[in-house]
Amino acid sequence: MNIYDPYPTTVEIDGKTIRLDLDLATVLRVIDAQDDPALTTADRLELQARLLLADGESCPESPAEQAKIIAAAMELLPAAEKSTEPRYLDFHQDAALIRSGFMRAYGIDLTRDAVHICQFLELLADLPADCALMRTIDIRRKPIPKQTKENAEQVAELMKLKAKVAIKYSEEERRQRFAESLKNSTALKG
Amino acid sequence: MAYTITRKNRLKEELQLCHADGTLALTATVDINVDEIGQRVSKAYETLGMAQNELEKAPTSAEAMTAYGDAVIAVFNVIFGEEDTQNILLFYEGNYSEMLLDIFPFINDEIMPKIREASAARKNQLLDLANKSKGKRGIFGK
Repeated sequence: MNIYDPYPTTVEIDGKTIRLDLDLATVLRVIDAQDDPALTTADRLELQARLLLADGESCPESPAEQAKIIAAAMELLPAAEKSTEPRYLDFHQDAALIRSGFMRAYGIDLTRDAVHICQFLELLADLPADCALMRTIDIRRKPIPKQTKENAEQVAELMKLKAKVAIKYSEEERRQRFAESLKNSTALKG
Repeated sequence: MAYTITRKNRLKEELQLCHADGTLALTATVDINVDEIGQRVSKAYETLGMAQNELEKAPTSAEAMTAYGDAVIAVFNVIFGEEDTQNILLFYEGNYSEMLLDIFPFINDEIMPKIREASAARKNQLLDLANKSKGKRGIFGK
């Protein structure tokens, strides 16, 4: 992507150009729908496709066509690195800190301003180190040093802070992480 | 905006299985929250569909038969819970196909419409919320 290119808002599917809504709120709603326990697969696909299509675009009836739109839209987003490392940011848990960080650093009110998901991710990565969100992420990232007589108090304080800001994983995430760590430990032994 | 609380959409049904002479063998209970089960049922149905396809391609394959049996159990576990599924399986002496043939009409006609209805209501609710929010959001920088 060139510095002067606009953020992407269209995809080409089977030779047809389709306009998308890639506002932050829309993309987060699409991601949330992925784990919504009430939705059958057919309803989830239709919902995600309808959310992503810009006003005036019609939603195809076939789930396979809807899935194509969702996949094409997700392709436009910067690829998240696959990592077994813990997450340091949660869009729901950290919502207040993200909102206040954006307001303070950029004057953007995320509850009212439409921001393209790509622009949001760029700005998020560039939030100043002294904002509450970045300080929270820093605490989550910080390794706990080996305890000695001299640092016992600091270690205890760090552990208290880590517990306070820890990301609360869902049951499903906990299961996935456990399965991944099992797989990794088996791979290491093998 | 009004603060709305909706009671959990609980579905309770009973299925009675009888011996050939008409005496009651067991009563299986369905007790599910239809607002929280659409995704699990859908996934279990998809796995079952794939297992059926594999079994049709290779009817004598032990692997395909095991996968089919596991997929049937998975659907029943979601609807009846593990304990009642085990009891139903004992009643059918492990014959998955007969169990499926007998009980699937009950699942499809009595249970699935309510799950689909709850899923469609949730989909519409989320679309409404998104549409309301879209109208209020201004484009940053413009």
